[in-house]
Amino acid sequence: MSTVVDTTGGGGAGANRSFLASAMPVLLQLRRLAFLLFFVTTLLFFLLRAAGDPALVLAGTDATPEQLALIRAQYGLDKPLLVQYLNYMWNVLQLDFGKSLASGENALLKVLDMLKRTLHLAFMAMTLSSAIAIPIGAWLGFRPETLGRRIVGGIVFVFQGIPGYVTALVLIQFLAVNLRLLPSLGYGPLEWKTWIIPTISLAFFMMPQLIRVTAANVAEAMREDYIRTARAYGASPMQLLWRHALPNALLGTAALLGTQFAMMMGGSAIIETIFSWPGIGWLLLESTQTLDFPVVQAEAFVIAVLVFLINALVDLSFRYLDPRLRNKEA
Amino acid sequence: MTDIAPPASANTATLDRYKRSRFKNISNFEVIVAGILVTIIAVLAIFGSFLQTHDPMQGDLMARFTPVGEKGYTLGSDNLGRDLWSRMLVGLRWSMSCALTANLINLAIGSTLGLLAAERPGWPRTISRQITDTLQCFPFLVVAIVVVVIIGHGFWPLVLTLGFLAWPIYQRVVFAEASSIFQRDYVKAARIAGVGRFRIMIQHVLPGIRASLMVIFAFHFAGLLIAESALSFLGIGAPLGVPTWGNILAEGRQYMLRAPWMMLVPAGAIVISVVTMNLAGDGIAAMSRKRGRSIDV
Amino acid sequence: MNAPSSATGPVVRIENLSLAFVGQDQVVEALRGISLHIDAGEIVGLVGESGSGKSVTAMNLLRLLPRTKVQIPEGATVNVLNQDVLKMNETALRTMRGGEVSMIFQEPMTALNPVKRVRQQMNEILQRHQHLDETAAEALSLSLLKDMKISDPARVYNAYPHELSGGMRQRVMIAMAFSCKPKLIVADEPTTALDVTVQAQILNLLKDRAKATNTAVLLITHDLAVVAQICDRVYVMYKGKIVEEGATRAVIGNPQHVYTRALLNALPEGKAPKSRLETVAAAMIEGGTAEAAAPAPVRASRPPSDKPLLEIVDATVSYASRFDMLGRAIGYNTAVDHVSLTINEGETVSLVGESGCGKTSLANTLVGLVPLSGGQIKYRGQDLAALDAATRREIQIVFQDPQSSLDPRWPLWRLVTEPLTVGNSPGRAALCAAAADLCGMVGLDRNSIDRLPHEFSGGQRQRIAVARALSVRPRLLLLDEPTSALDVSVQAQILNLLLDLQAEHGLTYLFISHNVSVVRHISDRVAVMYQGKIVETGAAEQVLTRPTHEYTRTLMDAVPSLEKVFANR
Repeated sequence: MSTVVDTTGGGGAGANRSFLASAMPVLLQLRRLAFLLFFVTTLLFFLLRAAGDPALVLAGTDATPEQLALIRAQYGLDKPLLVQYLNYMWNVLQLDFGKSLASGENALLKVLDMLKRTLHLAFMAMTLSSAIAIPIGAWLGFRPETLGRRIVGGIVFVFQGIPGYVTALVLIQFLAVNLRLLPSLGYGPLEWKTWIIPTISLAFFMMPQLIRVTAANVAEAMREDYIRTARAYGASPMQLLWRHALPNALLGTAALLGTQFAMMMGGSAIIETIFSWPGIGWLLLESTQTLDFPVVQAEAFVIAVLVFLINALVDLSFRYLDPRLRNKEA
Repeated sequence: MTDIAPPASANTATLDRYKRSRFKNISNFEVIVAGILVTIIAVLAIFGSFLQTHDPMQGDLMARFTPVGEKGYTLGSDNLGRDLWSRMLVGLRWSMSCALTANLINLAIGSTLGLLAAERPGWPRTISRQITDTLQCFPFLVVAIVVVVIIGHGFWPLVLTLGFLAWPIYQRVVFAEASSIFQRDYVKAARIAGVGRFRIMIQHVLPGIRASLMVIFAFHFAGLLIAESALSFLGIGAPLGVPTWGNILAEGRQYMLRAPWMMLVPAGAIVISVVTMNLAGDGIAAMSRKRGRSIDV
Repeated sequence: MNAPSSATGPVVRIENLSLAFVGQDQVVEALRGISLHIDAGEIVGLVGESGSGKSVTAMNLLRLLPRTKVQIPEGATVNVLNQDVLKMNETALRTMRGGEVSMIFQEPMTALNPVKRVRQQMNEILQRHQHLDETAAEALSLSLLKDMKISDPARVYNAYPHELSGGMRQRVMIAMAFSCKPKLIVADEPTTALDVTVQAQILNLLKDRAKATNTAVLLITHDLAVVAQICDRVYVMYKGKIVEEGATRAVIGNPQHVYTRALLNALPEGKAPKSRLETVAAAMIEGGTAEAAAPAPVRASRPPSDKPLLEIVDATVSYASRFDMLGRAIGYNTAVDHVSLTINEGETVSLVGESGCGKTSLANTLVGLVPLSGGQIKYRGQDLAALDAATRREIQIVFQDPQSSLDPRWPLWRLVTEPLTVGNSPGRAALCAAAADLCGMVGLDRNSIDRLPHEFSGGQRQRIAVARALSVRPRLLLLDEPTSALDVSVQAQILNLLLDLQAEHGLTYLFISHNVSVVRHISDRVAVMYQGKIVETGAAEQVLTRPTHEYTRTLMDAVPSLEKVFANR
């Protein structure tokens, strides 16, 4: 019998692909991003125009008609709506959202400044929740049948029903008000004490779901054939879990982390309001309520790009965690 | 000419076992508990107005901050002396009808787009997925805040905003499950026999995804309850003056020390209803898994 | 290596082993007092149909079944390398697993960890049992892969499982099994998921390596021909018992037990074409005597006419495989490449080929599931695409997997009459009557029309699928691997049924299969398909015994066959 050569050759498939073909996934992603940004900016432009007259906001309610006309001419608000829209889109293309109606700062810079603080919070919360949730999830999913695991599973289940802002209020009540250990609100970049309750509240909200998804994925991986193979070749239970089941199970966890990040951008509006934390969530509410159009628009734009980038990152980590996806086009 | 695997006499036994297991499935612990709780919530939401002990809007300034259970105030009274129990009943009705209506809209939009994407490859699929991707890229609470603030307060602005923004989960699950059913040989056989697309959808695909739809409906209901209460907590969902769990909680927050029940009662109610819905979803999922296994064996 | 196991005595000695699975509300007996032994360096086959307990026996050798769910009554011994595994603790068992005893599994795609390179998976085992460092492990792994006749071991060693073909993955699995110089390898259906040509290579490889290293092999399979090819001795299992054992040649050449005889008689190989096959069920119920079953009379089937029913001219089917940014196809894979074939009325034509050769794509095109990209298909002289609905329905199909071809929520009467409800809506009573008639035609109990698919066995489900196809009185039936998901004895029943139906209703069959002996049994003519093309067409006997094309010859040589094995020995 002669030696055989494998004909499927997945390994070398990329070598002879043209540059265009290998750039395809990136181009497709960029197309998605363009579509998303177009959708978001257009929707917001018309929504905000429907909501109120920006000239009125600019001039204040007691402005005379002459003042209003002056402002309209100055900001191009006297032109037809379509022209205004095209102008606006042209500016957006140059990343120029205009100045904040409230403070006169560059809207985009203002948003980016606030974003920094929100990202700090989000990053801390996600680190905390993954650090706790993944080990617990792995433990729960490894052998789901025991009594101890059932009890922990039940507790996690009830915790899943507690919204983040409820946790925040309860924590404030105990740690800040009753025990006077921590400040109940405010933000100080170097005041670590102001960080604790917001971080815990956000992490606490995300953790139960993360635990349950990790547990379900680990339990599923443990039923796979390759676990049986590993067992038949002498792997210990711990090796089965850490070396074989978990790398596969983390695929689902990575996907969830991406979704949770997007959720947190929304959730931060509530948490930040509770703690008077000057991040983009707080700014979103503030600027929408005062009809600060440029800021709202810049903010939506930034959040969309951010969430998109996170999703792309999750995609990328999928490719790292699952080699089967590496050679595939998007 | 019978096959050897199960002897002919075993068939009745199999049938009996199947019936028994079906009965046993329904007696799933989670589903029973969730069923009871859902019934209670539904009864309170529908007949709530008959159960109110006080006028939910009219306060008695002599009875401000009455603790739970005293002077006829079942759940205590608030800073204006209004009965919390009666206010909670109004809020319950508001929250539940809000979440239910929005969920039904989500279900309709999401499953239509999901089925469309699964049934028609080509441009309908591309469009359906592109829209879903776009919405999903955008945290719906962010959009909801902007839209609700701009459109204004009220039931329909809130419900329509949630209804038109929060459906991607349905599209994704329906697309995945329906696609897998469209790949099954029994659907191919039906197509070869000349059965129309619409009938295949109604007779094979919809029954196949029904269990999953019920599961998402329950979980998503919980998610919408959280979203709705969060918005009204921020003061941007319900019209001013309508008591909802969210704004009762927000008011209670200001009297955290003086009257902790003002915060704990709405918070507890939110948690209990969210857990109930999650429980229902979990129970239905467990049931359909079990039944799926009995079908596969 | 562990010291205590000496070379004396058998490698495996199982005595009086019974085993039951404890479920929540029932106890299922899987093994009922089996005894077997394997000597050093011996290749022993364990044959049986699904549910006979053969895999349970294998898994129990290393105690891989979940202990909480398994009940083993007192009095059993399972000695592996002179150690009683029933009394060993997990730690001791772990040293044995993969070290002195290793396993090969059926599905090499799922049996290897998809997110780890072959390198990591092989080294892990070598490090665990041989305590080698990275470099030593690499050197040893590469030489093991080389022993598996892999021409580029370095690439395979650094590849992920999904980058390898099925045969290559199974070679890796075997290399892993041999890596720690085991005394025993348990191979659980190692070639069932592979193509015939690959199967032959893998079996020879397993045998050569085992003999070269004096390793004992326990080969678990449902396929007697596989056993005949490489095993020294064989055990036959039926419903949790070992019913016969002996030297392979003796057992297959002169079976003593009724079941073994029935199983051999159920094989189409060596029987007159289109003859009625004996079924195991009949033999077991009648409790057949020691005499061989009387050769069944050849059925009087109508001779096929010369009138062409279906003409395939230059048919090409291609799928879009790559897309540009706007979702337009820019690359195509050709599944069916300029194929021409004519099927006459009343004839059985078989399409033979290995997985991926395009035979299923062609079938899907014939029933309109996949559009034709080039060429023409004519049915009764008319273009297939221009047929009216009623004529189109004269072509029906039976799929391979009866599990997936029946809606799990529908009762039998709805399943088989679904095609009848197209265009008109007969009442339930009429449909039930029609369903009962169809049940009669395919040998199902007429009283079972209210049952759901999961209440039927695999063979019965395939009968249901045939009944559904028959409901619209088709002329041409496409049979896409209709017996390959079934046990041998059930396969015999379905083949009998198909031959009966053809004789009775004058059906025309296009039979698609990779199983040469089944094809030989049922066909008038055979077309061999390879990489999208038909490479050879002709009368069944001629193509299968005197092939002219090189690929057909390779295929025929690779087919494991009882006759061939005994002729060569």
